[in-house]
Amino acid sequence: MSTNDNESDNSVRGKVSSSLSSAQIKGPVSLTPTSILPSSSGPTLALNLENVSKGVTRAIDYTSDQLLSSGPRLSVVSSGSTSDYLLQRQISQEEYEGLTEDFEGDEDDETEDHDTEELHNIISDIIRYERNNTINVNSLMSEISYLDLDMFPNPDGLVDEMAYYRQHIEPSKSDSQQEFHYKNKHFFIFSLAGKPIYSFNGSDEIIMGYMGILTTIISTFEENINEEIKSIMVGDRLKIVALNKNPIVLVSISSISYELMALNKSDLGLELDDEIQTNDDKEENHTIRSKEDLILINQLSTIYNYLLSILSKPVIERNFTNRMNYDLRRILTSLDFQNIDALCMRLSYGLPITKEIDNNLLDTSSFGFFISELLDSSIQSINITNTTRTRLNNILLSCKKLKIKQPEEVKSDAISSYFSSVTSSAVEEKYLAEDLLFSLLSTSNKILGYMKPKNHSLSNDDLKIVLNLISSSSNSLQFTEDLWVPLCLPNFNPNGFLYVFVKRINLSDYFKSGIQVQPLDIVLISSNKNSFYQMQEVSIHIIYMIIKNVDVLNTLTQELISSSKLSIYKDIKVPTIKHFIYKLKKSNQFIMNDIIHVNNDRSMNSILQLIYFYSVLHNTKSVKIRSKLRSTYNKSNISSTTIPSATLSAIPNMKLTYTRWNFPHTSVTGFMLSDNDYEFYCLCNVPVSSKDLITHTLKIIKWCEKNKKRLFFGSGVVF
Amino acid sequence: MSGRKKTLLKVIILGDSGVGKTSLMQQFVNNKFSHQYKATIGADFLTKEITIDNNKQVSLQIWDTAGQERFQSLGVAFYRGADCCVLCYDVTNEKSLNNLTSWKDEFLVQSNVTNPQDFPFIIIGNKIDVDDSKKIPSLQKKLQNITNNQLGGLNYPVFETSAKEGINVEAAFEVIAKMALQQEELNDANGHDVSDDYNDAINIHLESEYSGCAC
Repeated sequence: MSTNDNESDNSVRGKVSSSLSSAQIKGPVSLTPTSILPSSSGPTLALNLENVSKGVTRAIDYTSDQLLSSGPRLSVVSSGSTSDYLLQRQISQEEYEGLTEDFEGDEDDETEDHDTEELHNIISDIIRYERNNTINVNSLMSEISYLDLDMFPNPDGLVDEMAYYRQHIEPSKSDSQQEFHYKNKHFFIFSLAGKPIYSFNGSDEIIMGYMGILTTIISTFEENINEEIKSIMVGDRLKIVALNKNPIVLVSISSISYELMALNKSDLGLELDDEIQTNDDKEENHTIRSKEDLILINQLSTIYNYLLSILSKPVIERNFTNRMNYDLRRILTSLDFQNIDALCMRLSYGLPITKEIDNNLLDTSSFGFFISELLDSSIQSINITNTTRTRLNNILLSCKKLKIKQPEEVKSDAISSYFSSVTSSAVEEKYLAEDLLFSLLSTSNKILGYMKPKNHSLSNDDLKIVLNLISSSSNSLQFTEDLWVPLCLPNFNPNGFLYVFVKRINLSDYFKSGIQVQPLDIVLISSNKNSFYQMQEVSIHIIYMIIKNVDVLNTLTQELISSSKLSIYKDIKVPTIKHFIYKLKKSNQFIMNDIIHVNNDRSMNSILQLIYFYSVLHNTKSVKIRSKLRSTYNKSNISSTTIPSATLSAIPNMKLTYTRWNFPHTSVTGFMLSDNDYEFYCLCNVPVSSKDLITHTLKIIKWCEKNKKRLFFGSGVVF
Repeated sequence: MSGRKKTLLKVIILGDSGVGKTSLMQQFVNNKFSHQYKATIGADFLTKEITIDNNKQVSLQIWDTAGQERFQSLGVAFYRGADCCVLCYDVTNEKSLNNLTSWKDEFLVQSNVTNPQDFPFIIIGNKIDVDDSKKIPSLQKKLQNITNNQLGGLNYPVFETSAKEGINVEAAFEVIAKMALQQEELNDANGHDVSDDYNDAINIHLESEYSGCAC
């Protein structure tokens, strides 16, 4: 510990290491978090404003207090120069007046559809009221940087995006305490004996002590207070959340602002209760987890589900039975650890783990994964015509009708002699795909077609595991290779394995001209571990069915190419809104456009910004429109039947959230509208009048409703 | 991912307050000794990697517990899943020697290990650097008495160490690691890793109208 004294010249580091490297538990662990962990210099990051020069404090000038509070208002003014503030206030005032004009002009406009106009008025009203929902950001740069947003702690006031990424975001397994403590986010998995299984950051040597402390805290709570520890808030910028899945424990430590926000969805209460009951059968009588922990808890559940998917529950339990000292790492491979790393990155930042992180054209499937998590495990769908989707589904369905070939062919002879069971029953007519349970056709982690049995289905969480398997094996998944893996799908059945066959096909191979099209993945999930050759034949059949008909092949290829570039501007003819997400609640699926339309890139900076904007938009308490609508409607004597479905007919628990971030040179507006059927989120990074915003929002929503069959794969085809 | 093959062992150090548990650990891990006595609060955790038998990499996760009575409530978490237990006494303090048995019993009760007879314990008598006159009279006899009668007549390895002078500390921990590793290997021989038998196939009952129907 004397080493810490030597380091005290660097006060950030000194502070952190002196309080934690000794890894000592202060006293019998008591309920107050401060006695467990030193308050200001928590385990991850020390925020030491004294160290930071005045010029860069803007980045650390947290607006979070208000942001994190549960109220609907986000009105925050950072401590920039007064003149800036006044200027912005002035602008707001002008815009406010402009808005009123818009609003009034709207009323005079007789040609406007009456019902839509009505909705306009109401929403404008609310937006005017919600004007206070504005966050002013003082940026030094003309372009928005994620570092200008109140996302992450920035103790050193870094202004370089890459430098910040390397220091605070990118996972590092190094021996350096300092590197470890700089990270915004930590994930730990350890056994209840305190033996480490996984850590997002830090070498064994660094994390070993923390595992001991965390184990002690968790078990002490359990034994002495008879309650499971849920979360510890350290100050207001650091949270520790634990998920006890005896015999293993998962812990996350976060100092990321959008993860510390309370989920303020007013309808969350109900959903929450359901979730708790299904997730933790053992905990039924325990107090319900507070909503604030839900974001991090869901992340830990996703990681736990990954562990289950590769090991299954009985395997984990059997290994620990009668030997609590078991080291689970012995049955995990380095690939598993890489996959958990990638999972943690996606969950926290929506970023892939890649060496070329500064590349402007990042793979956005990690971003899609993040949004999927944000929207309660919603699955991303893709825009293809209903005809094509039906064709694909029918191809999947046709596989179930394939009969086993006569054993006169040499190839199938070899196969059937290999599997004695097949030989014996081959005399009777047998279906080739008898063991096939689920089939998926997907591209870039989005589902095109889906087949399932009548009495079974896969939950979205299980589908996510399958999609994750494909994306994590993307590197090794060559067009010539077939993937065959046992996979436990925890919601389907945590106690056993299904066997997944994946074949990737490159449609451009079938064209003479060099058409570039994203690969198509055929996923066949079988209940029989010896059915590899059958599944392989099924996949050959599917490929044959797709390519034999030039028409099918051509349309599919064309649609794949255009669907990956879904543009609001071109496809929906809406000029202002740059990005949107439309989630269909019934099927829990969502669609969104390519993020390239936001900043003309797919850079880390853009992705992080979107993640922040959408998280704030999603987690901010929304305003209910319902009561106001009713009274308005009563007044104006409009019968509900005349209201178009895109707007109000079902009435619908309609809610909205309006948030605006003001930057010196631009502003970003976030808008959320939801009712019983859908949730709609969008972002504009150009100044937009509320009239336009509403008109365009409704236009997109109408477009989505009209094209429902094109946009969502629904519940798939059933055999 | 070079560390995968490393074996991770959890080692618990138990014994009366003031016998030098923390000093032993500090000497072993950091080669340091402090004259000041500071009671351990709850527990300390330290890690040290050692190589035994020339090629086996072992990572020791050492749980240094508080000897004071009032911290005993921390219980199970400390003992659970331990690979080896070190029982410490002070060669100048007869009471600490006599208490070894109760520490061992406490451990066995709390840790709930499956085969108490086979569980690796090791005994360390610390502070051998002090003047002979202060040592427990006829120590060896008393110690033998305890190991023979009270500790179940088992031959636990005994080390006499000085955390202050660094005498025998390294050797003791090496034996600890070896014993724990032996135990681990023995466990493996009995119950192999339940890993790559993905035989837990799910019995899927598709409705009979489908599977039976050939039309």
